[in-house]
Amino acid sequence: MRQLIRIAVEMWRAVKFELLPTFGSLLTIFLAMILPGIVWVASKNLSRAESELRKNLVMNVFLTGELSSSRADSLKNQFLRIGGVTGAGYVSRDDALSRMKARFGGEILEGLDENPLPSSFELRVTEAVLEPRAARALVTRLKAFPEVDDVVFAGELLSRLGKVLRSVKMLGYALALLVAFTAIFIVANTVRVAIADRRKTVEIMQLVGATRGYILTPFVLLGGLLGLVGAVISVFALAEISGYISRSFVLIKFLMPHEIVAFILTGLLLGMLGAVVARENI
Amino acid sequence: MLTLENVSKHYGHRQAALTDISFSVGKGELMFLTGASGAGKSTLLRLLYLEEKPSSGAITLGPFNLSTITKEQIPILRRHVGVIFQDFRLIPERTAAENVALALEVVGKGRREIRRKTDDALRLVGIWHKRNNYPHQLSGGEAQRVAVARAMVNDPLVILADEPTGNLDEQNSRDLLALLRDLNLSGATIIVATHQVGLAREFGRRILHLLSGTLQGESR
Ligand SMILES: Nc1ncnc2c1ncn2[C@@H]1O[C@H](COP(=O)(O)OP(=O)(O)OP(=O)(O)O)[C@@H](O)[C@H]1O
Ligand SMILES: [Mg+2]
Repeated sequence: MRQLIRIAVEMWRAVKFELLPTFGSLLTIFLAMILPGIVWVASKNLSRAESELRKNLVMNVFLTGELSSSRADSLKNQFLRIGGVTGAGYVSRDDALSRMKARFGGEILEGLDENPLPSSFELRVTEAVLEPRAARALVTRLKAFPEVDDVVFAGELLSRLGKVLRSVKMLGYALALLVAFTAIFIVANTVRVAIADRRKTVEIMQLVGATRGYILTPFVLLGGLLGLVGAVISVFALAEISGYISRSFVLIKFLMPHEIVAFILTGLLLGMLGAVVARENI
Repeated sequence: MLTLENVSKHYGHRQAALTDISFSVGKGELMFLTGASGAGKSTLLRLLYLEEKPSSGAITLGPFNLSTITKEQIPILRRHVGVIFQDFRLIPERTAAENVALALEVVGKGRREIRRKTDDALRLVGIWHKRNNYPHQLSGGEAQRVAVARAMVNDPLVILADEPTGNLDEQNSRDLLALLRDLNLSGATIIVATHQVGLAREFGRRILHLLSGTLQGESR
C-alpha cells in the first residue's frame, strides 16, 4: 500500500510540470485507438450479418402463375429431389401480399386494386451452393421447369460480402499495427520528457542506492496509465458512435464485455511498453 | 575499512586523472583530501561511490570489492556510502524530511523506522525545526545539513564529502566541518575533499595531498 502511494506520488510529480503535453499524448492515443476500434466493431457486425445470411441461405423461385395445392406439393417434391436443396416452401400470391403488408405496412399497396406479387417457392440450399458454378447450375435446372419464371439468389451478394469482410479485416489488422506503434511512440516520448524533466531527481535517487526498478516503476506505470485511460475514453467514444448508428441507421452490435476488457488491456500494455522503450540509461 | 591499492584512472586516452594511488582509511577515521583544482579529488571520490570504475588497481570498502562489483550491485553498495556535494543535491520537490527519508525508503525500511530515523538524523544536524521546508526554503548552510542527515541516516560504512563547504560562507563552512567532526566523534568514518587546506588543518586530522592525480604525501 505504502509502495503504491509512493508510486502514485512519483507519477504525479513526473507529470505535474508537463500536464499539457501529457494531456496531448492522451488525446492522441485516444484518437488513434478509435480507428481500429471502429474497424473492429464494423467487421464484427459484418461477420455476424454474413453468418446470419449463410444460415438462412434461401433461393427465391418465382412462378408464372398460382398453383393448386396438389400441384404445389408435387413441384415441391421435385425440387426437394434436386441436390443442394434441403427445404422448400410454397408462398402463394396472398401469402406474399400479407408478408409485404406485415413488413412495410398497408399503405404501400394502397393505390393498387390488384395484387401485383407473383407466387413463389422459397428453397433452402446448402452452403455448397454458394460456390458460383454450383449456383449457376442449380439456377439453370430450376429455370428448366415450365412453371418457373425467374430465380433470385443472394449467394452472389454473400460471396461479395465475404470479400468485403476480408478486406475490412485486413484493414483492421494494418490499422491496429500502425496504431500500436503510434501509441508506443507517443507514450515513449511523453515518458522520455518526464524522465528528462526529473533527471536531477533520478540521479539523486541513484546516488542514495535506489535500484533501476524502484526508479522506473512510476514511469512504466505512468505509461500504462496513459494507454489505459486513452483506451477507456476510446471505448466510450466507440459506444457513443455505434449507439448513434444503431439509433439512426441499422442496429449494430457493440463489443462484448470481454472484448472491451481486451481492448483496454491492450492500451495498458502498449503504454507500459512505450515507457519501457523510453527507459534509456536509467 | 577502505583500502586503495595502485589505483589509476584515466578518462579515454587523455592524461591520467589519477595515477597509482594507494592508501587506506580506518574505521572511525576523519580524513581530508586536498589538492588544487583538477588534482583529482572528485575523481577519487567518484571511484569510491562507483560513479566511475578504476582503470586499474584494487579498491575494497568493508565487505565490498569495488573493482569487481557488478552493475546490479551498485545500488546495494551505495546504500552503505553516504555522499555530500558542494551543490547539496536535494530533490527540489521533496521537503527536508522527505529528502532524508528517501535514503531509507530505497532500502525498503518500514514506515515507523523511517519516521524515527529521519527525525533523529534531522535533530542531530540541528535542522529538525525546518523539516517541512522545501530545499528552496532553506539557506545553503541548512540545505547542506539536510544533505548530511541524508548521508548518515543509513549508518554508512563511509561518508564522502566533495567540497561540502564550496557554496558556504566562512562561518557556515566552519560549522559544517564541525558537524562532520561531531559525527566522526560518534563513530562515523568520513572523507572530506576540499581545496581549503587551511580550514582542514584547523582540525588536526590526517590530510592527504593530491597533485595532478598523484599522491604527494600526508600531514596533519
Ligand atoms: N568525466 C570526465 N571526463 C574527462 N575528464 C575528466 C572527467 N572528470 C574529470 N576529468 C579530468 O580529471 C582531472 C581531475 O578532475 P577532478 O574533477 O577529479 O578534479 P578536482 O580535484 O575535483 O578539481 P576541483 O577542485 O576543481 O573540483 C581533471 O583534469 C579533469 O579535467
Ligand atoms: Mg572536484
